[in-house]
Amino acid sequence: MTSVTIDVRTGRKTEVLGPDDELARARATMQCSPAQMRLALHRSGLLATVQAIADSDPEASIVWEYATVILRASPFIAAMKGAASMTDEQIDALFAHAATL
Amino acid sequence: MATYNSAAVSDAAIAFEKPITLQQGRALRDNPIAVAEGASGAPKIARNIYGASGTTITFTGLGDFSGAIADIALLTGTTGTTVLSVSFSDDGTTFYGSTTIYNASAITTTHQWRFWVHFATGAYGLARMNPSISGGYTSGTISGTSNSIVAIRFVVTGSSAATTVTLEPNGGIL
Repeated sequence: MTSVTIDVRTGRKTEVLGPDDELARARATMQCSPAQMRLALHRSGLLATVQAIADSDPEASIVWEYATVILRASPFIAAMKGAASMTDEQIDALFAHAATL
Repeated sequence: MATYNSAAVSDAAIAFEKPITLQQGRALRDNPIAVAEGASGAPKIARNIYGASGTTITFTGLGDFSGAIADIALLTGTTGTTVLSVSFSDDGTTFYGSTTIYNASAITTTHQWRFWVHFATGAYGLARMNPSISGGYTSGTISGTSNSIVAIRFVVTGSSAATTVTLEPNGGIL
């Protein structure tokens, strides 16, 4: 639910995001380093699970091994979410925790 | 096509206690025509278009205009019932004259309309651009409108619904 107001006299645009849109926008900017993600997964007991996901697919393995940044919006994270049966909220918490490491 | 002559109407040419010559008089007559016709060398009429996406899109500051044209797109991915409506305001706060543009069940393709409205009379037209359907143009009158309109609001309701609107205010549609 996004509300936008545009003043045609100035062209000024004011945008008020609804909760869902705010969350979507926040998720689009979530990221961390590979080291941060590995540490967060290790401390969550999920590192081995995610490594297995990467090992099961050549392209996922390449991304997991060589990515210089881990994006919340990346296909790899989406695959991890599905394979590890994680919720979006758990993924969000993982990134929030990783950012502190 | 009329000829645009800026030199004939310069500050030096038209000055205090200086009579208007034949050439200057004709330039005063012809220059506005030349602008309207897009003549070579004539200033071009500025067209300002504004756009946004969202579930509630409001355009304010329309007090100097007599009407507006809008292109509206209703985005895909909605479920349930979707309602798209337009309303007007004389003060930017209270909106009235809500008119339904679209009211139907789940959308499976992007719908697009061209909408125009004349503030003083409330006359409006709505052309269904996509998907094009027989009888896709409707028109009517929105009650309560006037030249006091300062804002137009487009609202879409329904699960996952959102709309994109580009609006061009103008001097009026006859």
